Amino acid sequence: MTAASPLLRVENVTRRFGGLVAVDGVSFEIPRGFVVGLIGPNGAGKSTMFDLITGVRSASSGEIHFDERRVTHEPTHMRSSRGLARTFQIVRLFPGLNVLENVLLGLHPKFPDGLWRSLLAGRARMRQEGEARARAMTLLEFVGLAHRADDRVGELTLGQQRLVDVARALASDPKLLMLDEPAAGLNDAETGNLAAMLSGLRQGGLSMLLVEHDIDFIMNACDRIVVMDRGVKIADDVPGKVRADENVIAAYIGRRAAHAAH
Amino acid sequence: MSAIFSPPRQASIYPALAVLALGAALPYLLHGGFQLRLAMLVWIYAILCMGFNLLYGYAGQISLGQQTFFAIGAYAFALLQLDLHWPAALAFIGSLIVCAVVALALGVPLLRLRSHYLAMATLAFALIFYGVTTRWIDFTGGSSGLAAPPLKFAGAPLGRMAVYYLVLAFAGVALLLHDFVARGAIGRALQAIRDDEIGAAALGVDVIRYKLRVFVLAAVFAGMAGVAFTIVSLRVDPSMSEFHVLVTILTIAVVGGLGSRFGALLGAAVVIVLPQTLVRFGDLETLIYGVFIVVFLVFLPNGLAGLPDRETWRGVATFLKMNRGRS
Repeated sequence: MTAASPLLRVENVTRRFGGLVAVDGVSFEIPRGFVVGLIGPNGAGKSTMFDLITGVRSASSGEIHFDERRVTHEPTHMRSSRGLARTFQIVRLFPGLNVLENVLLGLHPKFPDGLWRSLLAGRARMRQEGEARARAMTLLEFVGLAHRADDRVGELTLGQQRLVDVARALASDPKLLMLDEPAAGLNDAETGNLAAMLSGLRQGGLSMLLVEHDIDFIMNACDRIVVMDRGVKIADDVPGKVRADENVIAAYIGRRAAHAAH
Repeated sequence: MSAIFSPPRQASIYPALAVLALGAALPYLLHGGFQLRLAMLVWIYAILCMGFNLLYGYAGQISLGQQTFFAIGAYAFALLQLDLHWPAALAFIGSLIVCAVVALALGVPLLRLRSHYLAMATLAFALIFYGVTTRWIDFTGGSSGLAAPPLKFAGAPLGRMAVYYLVLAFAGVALLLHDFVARGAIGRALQAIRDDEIGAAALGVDVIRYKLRVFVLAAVFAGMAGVAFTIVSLRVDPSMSEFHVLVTILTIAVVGGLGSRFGALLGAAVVIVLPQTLVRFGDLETLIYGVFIVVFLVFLPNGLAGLPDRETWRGVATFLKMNRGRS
């Protein structure tokens, strides 16, 4: 593994839904230690792109390489155990489990797989469970929710639920953290809190892919920004240049300005 | 970085051991063969429902064919002894393997699908199995069933007490296994699958494999219950796979509390013993039983096992407040 090789490489990826081409020949890279933003107006194909990388959907053509390995057709759970963690736009915590158990699930690949192996692990499994719990608590402290460990997730606010989602994604010690509109539905204080936390992770050297609507949020949080419009990539540059890019203004900001003028 | 808050305490094995200690003392607290038989029936239904609880209560996969695996275990245990002259211990292991293989064959194609397909297919499977047991008379003995040979030790049939402790041993294995799954990482993965399959997969849970594993495990639990039933009743007949057994399983699950550690046990104790004490009410028995079930569904959606939860009491309080406002 060379340090120069990108962590994620998306190569000429296309996804069709019947006659609709949701993602059309998109390529981009996430170098190790970089935070890359993926933006675009509604219907640009961001969410589809996100699903193709995580494996919720598979690409019609093109290749996706993660950490030097071709993962284009691997199922979600395998990509996850290779170090690709994600959060959900509409928070998908498990309502039947408490806050701590939700974070513990992030550590699932570290436990012995299946009943026989768990039974054979014996005492080692007990120790492992203890260590996992301690780690999950540390992560809950990091997001400021350690005091809610025993509560049902339904009792938390949306902002807190999103933080649990982030803690859960971090639990597996991922190589790439993918966040799907993390600021969606949060108030200003919660958004500020989240931005501070992501900035802390960025300083710690974690690679991230951020899909976001909130332009200010993403301009400050990213090293590089990929812009999509109607399924194709229209820009891929540092935030300052993207902000000034004519295509981007026309497709994204311009359209919004035109809309506002009505 | 070390945790300042210590995590909430892990669930321990002691409650399960306490239950088994109580089970061991039970024969000395009961009077007569009828009560002992009832106690064995409680353990047998507890084993059956613990498997169902892992499958439905934890993993959220509804099977309407658990009574069929109950019967398959029993028939396999009887037939391996009668037709192939296997010793009882070997026939016991053989019948569990038969249940696992049948479950695997059903589960591989079915568990790739979500929602109601499993329920429909297992129900169809149950109907087919019932048809075969009643009509293939040469092999299964038809509707009159088969007489299973009594278990022997050193040439003499086992006494009542020995049979009870054997059934208790079965229940002990089932209880410890159920508790092991429920308390650990496997239980969490199953609950995650129940709540959200895509979310579970995103965290690295191999959803299809876990669903298959728990389906096979539940079938093995049912088979074990079937063997225990055969040892006690010395008979195997098609009524074991009838609809009323399924209804009993579902009732125990609701009364005891789905997705809880001891719900199956509590539910089995109440649902098996209660009708016996209601017999003296004569015609009112069914009515009282029905009211009892409705009360459970309305007030205790988490069953008997949910009684210590604050959510249960909050639910009751809300319900009472709501009705006070209305009058």
